[in-house]
Amino acid sequence: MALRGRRGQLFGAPYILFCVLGVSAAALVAEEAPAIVVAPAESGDGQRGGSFTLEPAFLIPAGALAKVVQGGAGANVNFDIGLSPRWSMIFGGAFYDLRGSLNPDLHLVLAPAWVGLRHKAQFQRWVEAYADISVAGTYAKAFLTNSGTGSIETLDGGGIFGAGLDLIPLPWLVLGVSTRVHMIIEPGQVYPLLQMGLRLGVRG
Amino acid sequence: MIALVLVGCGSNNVLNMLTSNYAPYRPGSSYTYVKADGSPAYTLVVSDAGLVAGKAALSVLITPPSPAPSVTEIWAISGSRMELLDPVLGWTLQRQLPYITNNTWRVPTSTPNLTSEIVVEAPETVIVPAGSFASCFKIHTKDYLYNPGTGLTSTTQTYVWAAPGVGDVKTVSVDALGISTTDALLASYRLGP
Repeated sequence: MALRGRRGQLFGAPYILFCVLGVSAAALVAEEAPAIVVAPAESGDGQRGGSFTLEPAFLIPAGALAKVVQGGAGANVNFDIGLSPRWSMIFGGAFYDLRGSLNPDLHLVLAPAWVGLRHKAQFQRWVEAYADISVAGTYAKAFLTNSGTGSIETLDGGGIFGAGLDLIPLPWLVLGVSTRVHMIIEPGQVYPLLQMGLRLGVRG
Repeated sequence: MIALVLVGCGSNNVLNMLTSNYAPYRPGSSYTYVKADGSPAYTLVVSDAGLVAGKAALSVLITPPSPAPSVTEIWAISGSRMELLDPVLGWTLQRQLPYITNNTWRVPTSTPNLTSEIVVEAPETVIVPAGSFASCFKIHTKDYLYNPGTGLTSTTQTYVWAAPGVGDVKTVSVDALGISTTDALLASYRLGP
């Protein structure tokens, strides 16, 4: 029971956020759907092509990790390969260097790489909402600066839930916002981190 | 998915180690240590010492078997360091937190010709009478005592294993001749509220 309770706490906030984002995106799509002029649902203006985006982002630790390290800025790269107008396969990677909150000399480097599936809905020709789920491998390294030497590192597994909204002002240009919840798994514990970023890239 | 999740079962659980408290000493905590042969080594009882020399402090009463006298040490523990109040030097750094493998630092000492250095060694699983403790960092202290008369330096070493959520669970000392002695094994403990 205790384990279930703890998992409930860990998964609670990110899960709710993910649901809210997903429902918001779906509601947005539903509201705007009648406005689609050119393309009905599946064919749409909906392009099957993919995109490549760079994404400066903030990574904010939650749960137990929030007591040890502060949130920090980093960057993602995202590849989206269209399988259909509604579905894409996604690949990505990121790099974050988080600083210790109790010990400012502490650095925690997190470098996740992921592969997953994205469901997307395009409307008004220039707006696209999406939600995705991925499996991830995360390289983690902790080290100290100034006060010492040495490091400890590992490669952890986990999952990522994401949602976002892209604007397509030009047929080849993507601007957007995205949110992801990273779940890094270590024995007996799941570490959630919330990521929020701005996307800029090209699509084809 | 399963394969990626299994990657999380690596030997160094960095996030688990970073988020664990390796020095959970607080008022009301008590520890009982025994020697390798099971005879009593000492007990350690932690109480609140209030504000001492500008820091929130803990009073640590260390009681060996009689007739040896008890000793009281004053500790201060923050998120980044564990300090001991030295009557001559004031607050002196003893441990740097969090523990990171291969991190090394000097420990100030008021003893003439003595220099002391600590190295954090890779975590291990340790079995003591109080139980089995995984991810115990091995804190290796090297004391170098220079003898001006002979020009020689003798080295004594101490290994302390610190367990997450518990504190120190095992102590082994190695004298200048290289003879190793198990000084203390945790027999039982109780964490304060």
